[in-house]
Amino acid sequence: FFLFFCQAVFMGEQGTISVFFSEYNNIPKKLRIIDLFLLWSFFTGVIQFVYVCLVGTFPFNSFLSGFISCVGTFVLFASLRLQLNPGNSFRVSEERAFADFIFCNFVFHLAVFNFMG
Amino acid sequence: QIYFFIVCLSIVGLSYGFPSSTFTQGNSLRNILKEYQPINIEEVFYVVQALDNLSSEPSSKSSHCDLATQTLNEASDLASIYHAVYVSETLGCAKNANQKVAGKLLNLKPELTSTEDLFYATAAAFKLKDKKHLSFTSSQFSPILSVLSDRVSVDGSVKDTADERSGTLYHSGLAFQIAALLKSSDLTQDQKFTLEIFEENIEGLLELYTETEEGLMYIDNSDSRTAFRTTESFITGSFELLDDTDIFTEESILENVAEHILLNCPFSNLRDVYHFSKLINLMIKEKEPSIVVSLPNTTFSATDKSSGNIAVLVTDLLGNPISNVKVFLMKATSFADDSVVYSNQQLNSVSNKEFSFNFFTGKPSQGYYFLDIGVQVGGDTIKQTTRTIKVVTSVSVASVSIDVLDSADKEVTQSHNVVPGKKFGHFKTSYFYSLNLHFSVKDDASKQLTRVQQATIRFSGRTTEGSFAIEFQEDSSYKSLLDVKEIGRDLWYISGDYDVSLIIGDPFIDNSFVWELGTVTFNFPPYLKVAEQENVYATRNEIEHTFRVPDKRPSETVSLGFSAGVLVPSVFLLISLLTIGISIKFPSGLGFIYSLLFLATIGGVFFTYSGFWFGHFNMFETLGKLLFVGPLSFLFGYLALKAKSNTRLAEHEKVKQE
Repeated sequence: FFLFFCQAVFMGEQGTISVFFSEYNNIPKKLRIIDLFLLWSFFTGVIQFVYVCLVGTFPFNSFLSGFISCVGTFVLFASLRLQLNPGNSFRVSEERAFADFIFCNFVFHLAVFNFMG
Repeated sequence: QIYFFIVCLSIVGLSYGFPSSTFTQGNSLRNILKEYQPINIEEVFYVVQALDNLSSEPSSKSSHCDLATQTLNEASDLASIYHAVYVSETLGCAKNANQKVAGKLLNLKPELTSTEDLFYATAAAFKLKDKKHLSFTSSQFSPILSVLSDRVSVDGSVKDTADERSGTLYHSGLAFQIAALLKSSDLTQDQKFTLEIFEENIEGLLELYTETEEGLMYIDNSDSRTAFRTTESFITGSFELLDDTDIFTEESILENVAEHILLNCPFSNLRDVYHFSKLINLMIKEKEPSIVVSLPNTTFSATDKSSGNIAVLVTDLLGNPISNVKVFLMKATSFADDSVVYSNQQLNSVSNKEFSFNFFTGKPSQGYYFLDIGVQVGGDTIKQTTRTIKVVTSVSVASVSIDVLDSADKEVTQSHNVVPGKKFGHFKTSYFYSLNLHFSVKDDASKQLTRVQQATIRFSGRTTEGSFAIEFQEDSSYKSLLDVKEIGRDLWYISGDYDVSLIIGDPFIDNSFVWELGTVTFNFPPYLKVAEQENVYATRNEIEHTFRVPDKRPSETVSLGFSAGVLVPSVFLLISLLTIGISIKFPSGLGFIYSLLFLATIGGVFFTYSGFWFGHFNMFETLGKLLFVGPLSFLFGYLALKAKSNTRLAEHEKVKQE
């Protein structure tokens, strides 16, 4: 079963990963750029979390601030991606979605900077 | 006839306030005044006049006369003229008033002169006139009355000047003295009316006294430093103006003032000494001089039969005897039960000022007694005053018996008896027993059993002590059954030896005592012993502060390593963006400018956040800056995105058309 699984996923043009990447290249560039930002905020948060797990929570407020900044950024980017995806039928225009994204970042990062210490 | 006389005594005796002490410091006061070196004419005036009031003379008359003459030659102001005139006239070295003095005194403008200066001028002028050193018509000073009349305030007191809000008793007294000097002059109707107003106002102003601990004084503006001056000025002025001074007698004003000033002789202040001497002089020389009724001794011991003679001294204010005086004991009342012990007894004359009465003929019991003493001078009405005496006695306790009983069946297991001067033998008792105390207190005067206020038994141990009151019984003895359990509660159930004492005390016995009866050992169950109470005054242990343990921190290498690690995703992001190939397209025209401005305002917002984080701004300043940058960001963002949107829609249309 394992061999079959690996073969299905990795091997050939019909492998899951190959299909994924070929289909992924077809989506609009904007969405791929947003996906990069999503990955960036995700891994930044993971590295901070690993650090806290290794050395402790001091200073806790700074950790929370950094971690929540990553989480919040991830969420806002995800929301922007949902709104910009042509497959979803949102009534807001791209510019409006971007403006909302910028405003939410303003408010969110005011709290982050305040909490950072 | 005798009964009628006695009834009259009891009816007509008027209640009165006689001073209770005499002025005995006359000689010391004279010596102080004679030795005093005055430095100006005012102080010379006080020294000379005070000595004159005390019937004495200063030692250095010539220097005082020279100073007075020099002052009159200068005639600089009315106050110094007044002082110099009185000094020279009293010492007998006065001459006719010179032109300067006459000019100052006789050419007054009353409406422009204060009440005090008006008094100085009037008194000095009339003094000179009296001694024939200045001649003028009295009516020259009459207009002063009209001016004073304008200075009367609502309560009847007189102001110093018309501008002041209210008058004072001091200036009222000065005004009354001026009015008294002008009374016999030719006055207009208005001026006579002013005199009547002044006389009527005196009765109301007399009620403005201030009660002191000893009597009363007149005080202006709550300033007790000028009490002597105000009192003397006001009383002198009232006395000189009024024809009928009975109001002072009726209200006991002079007696109460005398009571205060005799007990508060102002040795330290020269001006007050002058006013004090003037008051004493007035009280002695008035038609009804003050009578002092004093009791040299107010406590009498009933056990000493010979000490029952109450001596009453009846003198004038200076301690001199008063002739033709009779003294009566109108009534002696017990404070305890208001019973009348004596009434209508005439005191025996021992000397020209001492009268006595044997208070113990009626065998009074101990306590306070109010004596209503009546004094009759010649054939005058009897005037009464009240004095308080205290009768004390001695007591003794013949013996004290202590029985030790079993608390359960009340069986007597031990019996001890102790007489004065002895102690009972040391005995032991324990928790399950009771002590039955019994004794009597005898009044040594009446030989009767009596009751005292404090009859207490005390047990004193090494660290604890307990006192218990003994109950007074119907048979006039003292008896108490003390359970050792109750005794132990006060002694914290600490077993050991305790000294037993009997305490007898009362305010009306003169031999209160503590009698050490002996020693008793109490045995209490150990489990009842109360732990020693913490001594609140003992030193406590030093408090050692435990500070918060700092949190564990990683090494610098690890922290820096992770700081670099956090940046790694950013590097990958940058590389990935370049790989994908991002294209930054700005709208054309104004849209380009708006886009740049939009980006600038976004940068401004995050710059403000950074400034807050670095501590350059506080939250309020940050919000203030955001209030400026934020709307700009919105505006430029809207414009930029609108331009972008238009561009996008235009391209979309173009593609559609193609």
